[in-house]
Amino acid sequence: MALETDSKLKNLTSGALLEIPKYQADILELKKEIGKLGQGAISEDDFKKYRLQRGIYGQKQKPNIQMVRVKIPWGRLTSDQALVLAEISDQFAGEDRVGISHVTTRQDIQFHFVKLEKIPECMSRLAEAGLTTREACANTVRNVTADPLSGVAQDEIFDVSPYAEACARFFLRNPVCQNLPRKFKIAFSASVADRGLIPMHDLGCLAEIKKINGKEIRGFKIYVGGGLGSYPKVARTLEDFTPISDFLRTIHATIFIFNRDWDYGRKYRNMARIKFLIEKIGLDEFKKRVLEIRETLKNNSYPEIELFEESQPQTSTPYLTEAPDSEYLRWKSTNVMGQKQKGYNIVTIRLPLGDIHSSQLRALAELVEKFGNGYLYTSVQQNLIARWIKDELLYTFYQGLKSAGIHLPSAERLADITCCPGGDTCQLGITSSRGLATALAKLFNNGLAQDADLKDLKIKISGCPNSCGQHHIADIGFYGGSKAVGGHQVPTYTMLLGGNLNLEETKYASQFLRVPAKKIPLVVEKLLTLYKQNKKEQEKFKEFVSRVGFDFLRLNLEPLSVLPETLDAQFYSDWGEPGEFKLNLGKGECAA
Amino acid sequence: MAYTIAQPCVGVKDTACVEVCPVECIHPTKNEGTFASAEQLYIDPNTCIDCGACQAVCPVTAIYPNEQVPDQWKNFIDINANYFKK
Repeated sequence: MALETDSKLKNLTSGALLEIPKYQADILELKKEIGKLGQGAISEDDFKKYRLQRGIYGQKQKPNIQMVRVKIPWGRLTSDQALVLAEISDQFAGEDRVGISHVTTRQDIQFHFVKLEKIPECMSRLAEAGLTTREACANTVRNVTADPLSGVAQDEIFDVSPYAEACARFFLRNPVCQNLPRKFKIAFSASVADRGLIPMHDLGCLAEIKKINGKEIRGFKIYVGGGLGSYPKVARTLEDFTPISDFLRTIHATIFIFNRDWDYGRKYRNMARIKFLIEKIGLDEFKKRVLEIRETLKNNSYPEIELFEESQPQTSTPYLTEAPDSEYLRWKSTNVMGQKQKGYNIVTIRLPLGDIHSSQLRALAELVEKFGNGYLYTSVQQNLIARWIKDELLYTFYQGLKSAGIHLPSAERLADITCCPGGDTCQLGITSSRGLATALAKLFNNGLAQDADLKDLKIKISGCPNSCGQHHIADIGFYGGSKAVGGHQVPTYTMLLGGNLNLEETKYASQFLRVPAKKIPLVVEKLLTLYKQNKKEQEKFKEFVSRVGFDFLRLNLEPLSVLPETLDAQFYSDWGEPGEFKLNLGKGECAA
Repeated sequence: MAYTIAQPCVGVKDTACVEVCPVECIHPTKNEGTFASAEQLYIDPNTCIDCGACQAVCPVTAIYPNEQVPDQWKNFIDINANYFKK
């Protein structure tokens, strides 16, 4: 069907439409390469580089079991795309992930346990919906993320979505970033609330408006050199104000320098991110080089910015009158926020573990078509967001979510735990971060039920030090490890406290205690009790931690983390995993 | 591939690396009997998961991935491995 007449492709950006034939060509090439691999005509390593460039990751379960990462530039999905994702999850995801679309901490959607021979067909289905996996992995510009409320947020400086879109499309397949020293992650934030999480990114753009010659000019404050993992770094200012006429050129120049000047990183992979280049040559020298290259690019043409109009839905759908429903009222208090457009609301659909079942995703797609603006937005908190829900339609929308079982309250509150895919599937995952998240979630249905909605208190869990769960920016963070005890391996977590993301004032969480995995719920419960019993009025958790100090907290919590003299088998197994825990790692493909 | 603790650790044994290693592959630790008499700390290459957390915190730049160990200290790769063969 011709692209312009395919109704599934309505509401896509021109960049998304342009990508379709290129992605379809990629699929044909990949089919050939899979054939060559099968015949032994290419090595596993050569094939690996090829498939990673196309967003296909090898899972821990071998052989030929893949994770498929779908890029969702700046988080926006049409309802038609959501339906296709639901279908793909049913048809191609495997094991206990059949029917599951997983929202990542970088606004992508992932499918797990996909068989290699099914990958071309899976990709074809994605192409039909204007979706791509191209450069979702490998040493390229990864998914460009953005504030999922941009366009409707009350605190926004201006809507950054068009600029995030232009950035995503300009760098996709761009020769300057096909073989970078390492991955490059870009984020956009529409306000100083920084929902794009700029400090932890290789490059971040914060919306700014400056008055120049009496005229208000849109632009960005550009930050560079942030990152997490074993060498966490806070991004620093590249330029205080870059007008929108120059922002793409500036990002282009930054990536050009990274590509040209960091062969050292190509040789030594553990020092390959741009933060190491900046550390090596100094920020001033780095800025100087970027500005020099930017000057040489001044005659380059860059794509026009495609502005999006936030549209009011045209609906006269019958609706229910709001009833005095305590469950609804609780959900409304945590999951609903008024838009800057009066009378309309942003609704967060909380997804435990970032997972949504196909039946739920279909129901949600229909709901946003009927009641919203026909779009869904992925968030870095691993949730989905709907917008333009009129005040009087909120109750009806909620009942629709409830029918689909996606009406959980506590969005972005304490009970809304972030976790990476972890050791269940990732080759670098030491522990089951999903297992721990599930165990902690149970607390909020029992002993800590009254704390589930606590604001400004986030738990984030990674299965290893690489921090895909973003544990460095959590109030309470965990990353997986292990400990040898009497001939057995005990899964453990390093617990960190006090992460505070605040642009230049950002402070990453500090290492606090090492805790056996099975002891963590007890430690978390006690920590929250200490907070509630000892906090000053209105004192936030991070303020409390800073005030009382780690020594006080360790005094109270360390005894709970000690293993008993005689270990029973529960300590040798990980959360959610039967059998004895073993350190079982493969060669990480994000480091390929 | 594993990391190696090289010459700069000799006589120092800061143990910042021990605190951050997620798989506890750096020995001896302060509460092990051999700590006082040990010349340096050692990484068990069979347990090391190449996360680099140790390198990030070493105050004397003693730790390298094996392929980056400076030539004059390459013998420390075996020294580290041999410590765990005892």
